[in-house]
Amino acid sequence: METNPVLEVQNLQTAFKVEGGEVVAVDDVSFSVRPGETLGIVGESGCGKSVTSLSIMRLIPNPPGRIKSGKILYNGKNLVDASNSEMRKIRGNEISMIFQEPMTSLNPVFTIGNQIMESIILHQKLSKKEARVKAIDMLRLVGIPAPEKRVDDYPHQLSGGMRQRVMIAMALSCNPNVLIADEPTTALDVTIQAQILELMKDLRKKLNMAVILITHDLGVVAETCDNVLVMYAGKVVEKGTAEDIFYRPTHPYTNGLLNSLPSRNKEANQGRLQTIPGMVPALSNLPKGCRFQDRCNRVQTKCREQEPSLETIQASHAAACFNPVKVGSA
Amino acid sequence: MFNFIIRRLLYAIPIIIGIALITFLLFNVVGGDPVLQMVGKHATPQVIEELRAEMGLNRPLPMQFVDFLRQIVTFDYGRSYSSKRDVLGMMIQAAPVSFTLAFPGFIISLCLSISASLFVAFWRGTLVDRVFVVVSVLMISVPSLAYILFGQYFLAYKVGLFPISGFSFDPTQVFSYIALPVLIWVVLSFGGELRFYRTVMLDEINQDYIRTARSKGLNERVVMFKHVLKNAMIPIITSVLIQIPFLITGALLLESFFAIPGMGTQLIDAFNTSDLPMIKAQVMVFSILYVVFNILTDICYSLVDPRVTIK
Repeated sequence: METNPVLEVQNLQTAFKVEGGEVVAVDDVSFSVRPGETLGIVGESGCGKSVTSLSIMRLIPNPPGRIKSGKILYNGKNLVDASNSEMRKIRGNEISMIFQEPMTSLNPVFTIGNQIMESIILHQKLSKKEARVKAIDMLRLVGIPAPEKRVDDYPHQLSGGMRQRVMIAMALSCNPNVLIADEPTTALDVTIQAQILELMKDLRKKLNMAVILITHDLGVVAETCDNVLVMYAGKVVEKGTAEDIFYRPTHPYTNGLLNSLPSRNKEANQGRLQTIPGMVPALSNLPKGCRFQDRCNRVQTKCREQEPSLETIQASHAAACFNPVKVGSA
Repeated sequence: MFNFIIRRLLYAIPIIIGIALITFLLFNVVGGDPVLQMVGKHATPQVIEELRAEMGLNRPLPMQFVDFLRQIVTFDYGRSYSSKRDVLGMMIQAAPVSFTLAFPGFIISLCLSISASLFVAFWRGTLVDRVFVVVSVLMISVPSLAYILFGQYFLAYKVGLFPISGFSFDPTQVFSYIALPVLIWVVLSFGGELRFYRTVMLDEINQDYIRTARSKGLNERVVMFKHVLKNAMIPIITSVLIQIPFLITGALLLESFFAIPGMGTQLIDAFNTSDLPMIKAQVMVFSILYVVFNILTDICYSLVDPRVTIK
């Protein structure tokens, strides 16, 4: 059953002005998500995951940042050209976002109820009383005990996990079609992480949302995502279904990421954790050719001269590499 | 809350005593003998001794200090050396004058600088922002005397928009008398305040919860006036409340240049004539106000910031 994608990003390029020039943080990124589907975007810190998501919301601080080119199609409408007031109707209503830092993402001087009600009153035109009832319902939905009481709490009275639940309640309060979760569990401890992910999976099914899950935790991706986008230094280096990525990784970077996961089978790697040597290159000083060349164990002369583009391997699977890892050899 | 206020007031006692001790040491021990200054060069030792006894300055220092403390508690600061009038009465007469000048200046510059700071913070990094920054730095850099002289010479003397100096409570005249000093007050404080509030606002604008507010689809007006401003109120309250004691004790330069008989003028006169009772009274009144407004600031925090609880 193929439905039309609710969100489609085409050749997105987002750049930031820096002293003496411009840095392209997201370069030629394309992907799409369908209702009820979860897309994982993985990659190291600074690879452009968050900038991609903020671009979709049009929340890139401008100046210094701006979307240089590309299209962001939401139900066919290009958000890059949308006016500010059109964007305001979409934000929090049709596309919602959960941020990485639950400890600082809630305003400390307003009650959580007030903050959830804000978007309900704004987008659903409910009265204060009705919005409060809805806010309590949302808090109950995300599993906050005694929501009638908690609704009047201030953020500092809640733990990190509880605050992230509040963020989720806030993001879901207007039944969005797309939920962007930017490392929703990074700041939380492991048991809470599992709860939050379970909750998001649950709600996705209930509400038939499309979810974009941004993370650097491959375990999380394996558990929750249908499709995966692997980003490196602002570019997509591999994309495919979760099976493609986990069982048939093609790009040496993806392969390296998977190999650097701790494994229970200690014999396989002599008890040592494998790593990808080196550092992500500075976006202002990218090497000629493939961006991953200096850290790649399969680098060839061609990689230093030309930049590889995404080549389809199988129907849904594509990678940008001249010397890909052979399927099965990982 | 009540317990908190009582406790803070009790803490204030040693602070006040400390200030009293320093003031006392500075003027009665380190400073020159006020009697010698009063009687001039040709007085006989006998006259000096009599005057000293009359003013209680021949008594042992600890006794004099106790006298001073008694004055602080009873608000009876004795008589001025120069005018021979009751010091407290003089201050009560002068304080409303200072306040009439300072209050409008304070309110106008506060409203202007806070709204301008929100505006500038919203347009941060653009030409508007830069123009405001340059202008406010210029305003800070010009010394206050330059403004006063310019205002009095050009606006008052040459153009004749305002009286050059003077003061009256007469409702038909008070406005014209305070207009120029108030204007200069606003010009003097606007630049610095704008810079400070702009920093405060920018600090807030870059917070994660402001991004969250935008991600909800709120418009910029709600983001700035609700989410940014309420958080920014915390540092703003600190700077505003602590300025209020200065409103009562007056602006030294403005008052003396515009011949406004407020507490600032009084203090300068007292310095010029070594009028010890007046100096000590003004120092103590200001210190007590300062301590009280510090406590008020803490109480106000708890009204704005739910994370602050007063026990």
